[in-house]
Amino acid sequence: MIATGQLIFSVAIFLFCFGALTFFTKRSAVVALMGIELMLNGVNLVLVQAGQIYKNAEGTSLVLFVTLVAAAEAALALSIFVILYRKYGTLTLENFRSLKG
Amino acid sequence: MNQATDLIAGAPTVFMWVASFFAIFFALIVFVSSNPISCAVALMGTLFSTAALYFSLGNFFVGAIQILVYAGAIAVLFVFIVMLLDLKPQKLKNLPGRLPHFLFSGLVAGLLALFLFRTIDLVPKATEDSSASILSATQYAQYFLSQYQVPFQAAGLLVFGAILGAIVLARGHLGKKEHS
Repeated sequence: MIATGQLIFSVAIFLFCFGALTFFTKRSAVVALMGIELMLNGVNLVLVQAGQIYKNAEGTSLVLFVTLVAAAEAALALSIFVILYRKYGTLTLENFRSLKG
Repeated sequence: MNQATDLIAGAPTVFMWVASFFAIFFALIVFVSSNPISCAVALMGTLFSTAALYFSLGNFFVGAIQILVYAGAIAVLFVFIVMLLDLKPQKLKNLPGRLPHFLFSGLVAGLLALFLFRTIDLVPKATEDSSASILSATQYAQYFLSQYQVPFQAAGLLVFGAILGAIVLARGHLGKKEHS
């Protein structure tokens, strides 16, 4: 029988790896951003659990900062997506190659 | 041995198993599904399941923040954008050309998962009272105004910059003269 800490860490690893897979393989920019949110969510889980194991408040305090940065990032990225969609008519990542040398 | 120790070192409850299963299941759906709207709804399911995990760990404030900010603001923003831009499900076009890409991504993520799973056993078990790490809203306020004052101010500046950036982007005439 596994302990609760191991279960929580396993869930966090699954969330992080599925988020990374989503970010690597999806062609839509919005879904790739969802992958980043999944990865941040897994990191939050690890922070809370590690804070409880090591008995200090740093972990749970960091979670609030991570949440705040994620919210700011999502708001900015989604407004950038709206502008990209107006300009190019698509959100498929392969079409944005104006920076390709 | 008190209750807070049992929450970490003891066996997980049935509620925790169910919440963990749903968190992983919805994360898998985010990866597998080709429809952006079902991806967004599955992401919301993962966020709610993670909040349930926080609740079962006794960390009620973080769970409430998770539901309010993540599931309430960010996931709804995703659903809103997908519906506003009317994004269609994307079929896997020219799959043979992208097969090396998929294989390499799977290899990287699999190796990462393998490496991380090996580190689980290195984590020490909680043996004493771990309730010192579970903060109430009052304690959060005291931490943010004393020990974490500078990061708190920096986070405020970050949000201010994000608001300004979003307003400038949303007004839509970037680098152009006003016409009227």
